[in-house]
Amino acid sequence: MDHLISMYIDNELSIDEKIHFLEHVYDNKPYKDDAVGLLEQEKLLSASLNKTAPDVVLKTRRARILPLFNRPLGWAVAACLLAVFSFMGGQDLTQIKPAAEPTAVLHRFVIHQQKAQRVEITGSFTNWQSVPLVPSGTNGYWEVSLKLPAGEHHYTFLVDGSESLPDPTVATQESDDFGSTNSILKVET
Amino acid sequence: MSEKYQSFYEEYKNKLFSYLIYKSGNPDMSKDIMQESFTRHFQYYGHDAVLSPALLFTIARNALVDHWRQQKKLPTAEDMASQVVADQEESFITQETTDRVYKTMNRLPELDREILTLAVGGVAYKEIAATFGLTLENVKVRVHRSRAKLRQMMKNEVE
Repeated sequence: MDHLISMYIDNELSIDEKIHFLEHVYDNKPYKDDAVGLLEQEKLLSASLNKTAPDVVLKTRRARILPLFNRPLGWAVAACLLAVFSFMGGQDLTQIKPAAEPTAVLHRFVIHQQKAQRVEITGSFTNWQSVPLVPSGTNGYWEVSLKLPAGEHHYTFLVDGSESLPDPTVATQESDDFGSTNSILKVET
Repeated sequence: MSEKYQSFYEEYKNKLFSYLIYKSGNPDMSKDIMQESFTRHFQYYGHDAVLSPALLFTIARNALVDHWRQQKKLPTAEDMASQVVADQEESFITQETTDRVYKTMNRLPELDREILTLAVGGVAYKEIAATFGLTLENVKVRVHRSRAKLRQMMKNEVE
């Protein structure tokens, strides 16, 4: 039963298993807490492990069938073709151009929340997706360093998934349409 | 290259690169092995009716072992954690967090670490099972057991 949580995270559940999983989540609070905890952990795992591949050139040669030639002659032709292709550096080159590097600066966000079980940040620079902060030592400080592009950014901290808190170190704030207060940070590169 | 293979390449290039980075800790080596693996995979299996991701990962694992044999040096866990830089533009995560995740993961058995890395990367369980010669049920159990262990270890570190 427990492994259904990982199958849910990895999109491996069949329709019947999804029904079974959802029913169990609604009926069993410790199970739901485990599922949420593992999903939170998955954000860290995914961000740490998943990398963007650099662009490479794939040197690929199509296989050719030589029905008109007998085997020894075929090998001879193949050897000649190989020599020519080697000289030419290969066929069917595929290259994807690298994207331009965006200009950004690393900004460290820190907040003190002694009793919190989890602290996240959500803002315009994360497309309002919540990004977890990590405990900085054992004295109640939480932190995360994010790369921000130049410009004005709006954000807030989320404590234990529900309480919204503006950044106490940033004076400029605004009220949003949902009754929360966001901090406003200007970044210059 | 056929459109079919181009789309396979697009689907699996980040998954394979992430796996190689986790295994080697070396971005340059990972890029070379990724290039070599796709080239060999296309050469031998590129025209199959169904393209097999498991064969691609098997080729890459073998290429990595060959590379280490030639170098006569296996990377240490510390090498890996210190060399891997977080994909910050993509993930909004600190280098310290990446190091912490790597160091904690290194306390899991090696096979479980590899399986978890592929699962987190979005590789289907049946492909993971075929890559490592395991049953699907075994992969399901290992993936979840690794996640649960990791969570417990991360919790213990904070407390």
